[in-house]
Amino acid sequence: MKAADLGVLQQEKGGGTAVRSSKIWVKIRQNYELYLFMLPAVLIYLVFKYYPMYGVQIAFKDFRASKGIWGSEWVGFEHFIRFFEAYNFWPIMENTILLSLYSLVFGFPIPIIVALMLNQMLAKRYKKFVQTVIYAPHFISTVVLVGMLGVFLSPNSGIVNHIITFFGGEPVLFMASEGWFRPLYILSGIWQETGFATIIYLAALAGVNPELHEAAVMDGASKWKRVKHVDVPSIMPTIIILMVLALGNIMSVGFEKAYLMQSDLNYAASNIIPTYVYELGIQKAQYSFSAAIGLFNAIINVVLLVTVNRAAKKLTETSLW
Amino acid sequence: MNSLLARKTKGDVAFDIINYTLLTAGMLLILYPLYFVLIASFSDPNLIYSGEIWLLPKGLTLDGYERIFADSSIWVGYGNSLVYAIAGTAISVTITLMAAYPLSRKDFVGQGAFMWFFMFTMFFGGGLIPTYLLIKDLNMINTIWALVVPGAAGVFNIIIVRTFFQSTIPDEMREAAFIDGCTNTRFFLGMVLPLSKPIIAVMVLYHVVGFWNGFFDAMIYLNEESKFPLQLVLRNILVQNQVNSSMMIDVESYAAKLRVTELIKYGVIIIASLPLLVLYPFLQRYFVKGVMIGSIKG
Amino acid sequence: MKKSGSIAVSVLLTASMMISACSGGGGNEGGNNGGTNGGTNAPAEEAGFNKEGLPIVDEKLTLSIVSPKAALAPEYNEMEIFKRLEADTNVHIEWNNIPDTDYAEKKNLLLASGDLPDAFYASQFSDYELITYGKDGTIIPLEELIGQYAPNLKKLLEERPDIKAAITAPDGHIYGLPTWEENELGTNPFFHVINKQWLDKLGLKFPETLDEYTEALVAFKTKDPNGNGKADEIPLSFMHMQWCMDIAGLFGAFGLPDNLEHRIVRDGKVIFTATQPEYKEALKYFNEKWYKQGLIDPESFTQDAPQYLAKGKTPDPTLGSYVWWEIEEVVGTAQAANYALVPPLTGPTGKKTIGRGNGGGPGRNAFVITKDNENPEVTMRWIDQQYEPYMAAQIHWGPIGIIYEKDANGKLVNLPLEEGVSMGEFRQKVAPNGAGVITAEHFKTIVDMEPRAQQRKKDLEQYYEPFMEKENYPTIFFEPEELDTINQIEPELIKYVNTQRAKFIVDGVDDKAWDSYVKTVEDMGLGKLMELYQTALDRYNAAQK
Repeated sequence: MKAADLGVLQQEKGGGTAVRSSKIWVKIRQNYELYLFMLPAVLIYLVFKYYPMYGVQIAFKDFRASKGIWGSEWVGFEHFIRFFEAYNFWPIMENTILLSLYSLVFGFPIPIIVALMLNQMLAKRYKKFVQTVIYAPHFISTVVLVGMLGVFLSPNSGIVNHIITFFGGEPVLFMASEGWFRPLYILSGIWQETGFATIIYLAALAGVNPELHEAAVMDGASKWKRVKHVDVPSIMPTIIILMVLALGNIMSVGFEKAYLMQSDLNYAASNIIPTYVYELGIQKAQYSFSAAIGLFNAIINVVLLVTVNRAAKKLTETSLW
Repeated sequence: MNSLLARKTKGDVAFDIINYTLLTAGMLLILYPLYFVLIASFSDPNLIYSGEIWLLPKGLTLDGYERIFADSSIWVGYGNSLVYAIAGTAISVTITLMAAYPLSRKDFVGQGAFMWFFMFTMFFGGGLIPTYLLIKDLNMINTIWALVVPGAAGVFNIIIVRTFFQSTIPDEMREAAFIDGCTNTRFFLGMVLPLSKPIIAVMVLYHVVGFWNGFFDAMIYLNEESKFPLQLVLRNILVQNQVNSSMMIDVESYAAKLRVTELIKYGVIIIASLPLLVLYPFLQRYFVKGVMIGSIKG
Repeated sequence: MKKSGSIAVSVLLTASMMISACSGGGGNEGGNNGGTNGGTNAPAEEAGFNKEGLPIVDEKLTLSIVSPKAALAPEYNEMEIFKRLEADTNVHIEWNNIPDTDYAEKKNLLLASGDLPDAFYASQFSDYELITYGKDGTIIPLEELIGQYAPNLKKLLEERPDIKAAITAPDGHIYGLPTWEENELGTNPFFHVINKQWLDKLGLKFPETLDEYTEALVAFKTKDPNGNGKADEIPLSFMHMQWCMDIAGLFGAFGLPDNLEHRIVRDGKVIFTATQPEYKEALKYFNEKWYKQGLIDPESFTQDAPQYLAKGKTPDPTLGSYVWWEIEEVVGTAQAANYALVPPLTGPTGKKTIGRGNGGGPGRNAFVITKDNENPEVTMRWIDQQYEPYMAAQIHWGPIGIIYEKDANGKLVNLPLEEGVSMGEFRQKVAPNGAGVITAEHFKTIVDMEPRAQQRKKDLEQYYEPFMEKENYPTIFFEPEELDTINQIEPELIKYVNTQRAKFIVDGVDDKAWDSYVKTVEDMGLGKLMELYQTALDRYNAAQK
């Protein structure tokens, strides 16, 4: 162990006399425990994630149950072409990307702001109360959430339209309107997920060294300044990582809520990739077609993730790898 | 330290006023629909739709709750969910923390490769059929293991924890400890984990909530109703199949299920989320700021 | 937001979506896992198989069967009727009861991964699945087994060659067994209902023409028939393009009825209604006379069934007119007497007709046997019990002693229900409703139709049948290639047509929009699709002669 320690010391001091490759070996030997730490996760991933990956090939095959994955016939890019040539391919892409992008633009900053605000609250019990209240909507199931939208927004009996008509307005057909689909989807998402999403930032804020705040107070910094110059920079790495991950998931929009909110009148805005795939028949077991679309999404996601991560690395020195 | 931080300038007072006002307003906006769920759970379902229920429950009834309490499958599901959540959380959080720590170390050879190894699975997967066959071949069908092992240590969580370690465990601390002859294992257990309570609390919360709300794996891998977790039981009651002409003989059964669904749907939300609402305050105290570094550094 | 909680439930849903989306294919080892399923144990001979009489086997034998189950139903081994069946036959069933909400997905997975049970009960196999899985040997042809081991079923098929024809696949085999209640209740699913009390109160005569009906709706909207001083009346509510809740029945007033498939038959010719001038006229009328005047509940295009059903049960009655399978479910028992059925209305050009629902006839997917089944004879004998007419009735509606008693003539009559028990719910608890055929003949001699069904049948005869189209599009067993084409074209096409139908009713139809709509539908392959339907119909009709 002593020798290893020495190795580390040498390296930390930038002692460049050792040969490169042997330095790496020293580091690996020095940190052999770290590899053992990784072992359980690596095993789980190898067995449950990597081993089944042979299934990807069905995106290029005409999968038939009786022939199995390996035995089904190759059809090349047929499933991809069918998707690209759908009469509404572009509207679907546009709807998917816009919905996802708007959710991100409006939904992403709010938990950060709320976390910073909560962190500045000194009344502890009130703070806890607020935290718990905004966390609770996360547990409302999507079916009930959409049902409640229907109740609140009903043009006949909904409270929102009662308020609108009370002020002399015309009832708005929220659930039937193309224009309202995205705002409703995003706002209800913000309502439901803000509290839950704040948690991670609150944890990051809890990791901020109090000495920094004390020093800032000594220098006469106001609360606002401390938020700006102490809190925000400290949670910046978390923000950036979550941002990168979110952008790398842009094509993975949830199915259930969009599906439940969909009607024949808002279809032009609410038809997104997952609902489209569902309609064409996950129920009819079109495994190959679904796999092809999944692969298509994954490729867009990966390209985005790699690009954004590179940008993040350049601009902020925080990145995934 | 508290007194120091409590010192206020004029600007700070304004800041506080704005802060409290905005948070309170936001909270009320969020609170109303929750309150609505509560009063709706005591009300006549038909009145909910006719817009009669705003501030107080109407057509007061306990039918919904009676029905929930009389339904044994809901309570069996409750117990199952509890077991799955506890076991799953214990396994997954342990593995996540262990995997995230090396990845947070700059001197860990192969960091980039391992990151890619994990990240790759975020995007590409073999899909349901090969995974199902694997679980079957491992004899894990219809067991708890199918729910808690394959999904343990999600990439997202590993990355979150790694980021926390990177930004809260200073390199100098490790160097100092190693000069004192500390091993990686001892450093991880003795220093890193105690400093990481906030993120551990977050992980526990994420996992408990995830297992509690999850139904998909259970739907795929479990065959016996006596093993179903709560959310799967509820899903089968709450989700309606689309009606179509092939079920025309059974309009009455369809309508009967609708009635049951409407009766219990708000009540089950309350019953089902209660444990998680109770859990949260316990974990919250780990997010209180400044728990740590100061005390350890000295 | 959603993205920052990776294991949040919403994301789990996404994940499940993606998992299904990335779904891999099934077992390369397709068939080598027979017998791993538990259940299939000793071959029939060892268990003392009896070709006739009961029990079927001397020693208890276990079969593994997959079946969907209603959420309110108990597991099937807890069901009285199956307990009796096990006692009689000595065949124990290891049920894998999948909740009906998730059945389709899980059934597909079992098939795709080659994890096969001995049989699927109430299988919900589509025609496409019957024939493709039949052809590749995943499920076995049943006609010989029926001949040898299924006397009840054999008798039925001999007496009713039409049933036999309906369940026989184009390749001549029978892959799935029939299930049917031959009560003709579905010929017109859309019962149009109006508030008669309001009509009387406002001094209006019961509408016979579409214009009179429109006048009534206007009066409902403007004259405060519920007398509460508020304009809260909803003249007409329905659920757009939803089964038994749509206004498709009213299109007949323009000379051409509509249905959810937009496909009707006249003089042996298949017509796609949604591109015909009559359809356009109807939409114009509904837009100009109804929607623009606020007579249609705008929620008709968005609401789900619970929201819709609640509209009939407001404290002050607010619902003027609606569409459902029957009157009572929507407005409740107390109000039902104030509402009446509207017979087909005469349109502006003097036409009056109502569509005849497509399909009908027996289902052919009640039961399939897989290739992994080691005891097909026992299985066939077991299921054949459920084709004995008395048993079939009990399987469909519930057992003797619980739902029925036998009267002096040996007919099953309904026992009174306990106070406060809803029939619809109770039945799910006692009747699996998976297999068995009850013919029109049986309804005369073996079992009483339940009261609500009797009422419906009477209503159909009285109000609708005199004006009903003579032909419909029958349940044809298509060739696999035909099904491929249908699956490729139809879902998207119908979805497009339906979204446009909603738009036309709400926003109005001008000629330009209509022409571009018709062109789009044609570009989507309407011609090819209709040609296919016509060919299949011709073939079907030829075979009937």
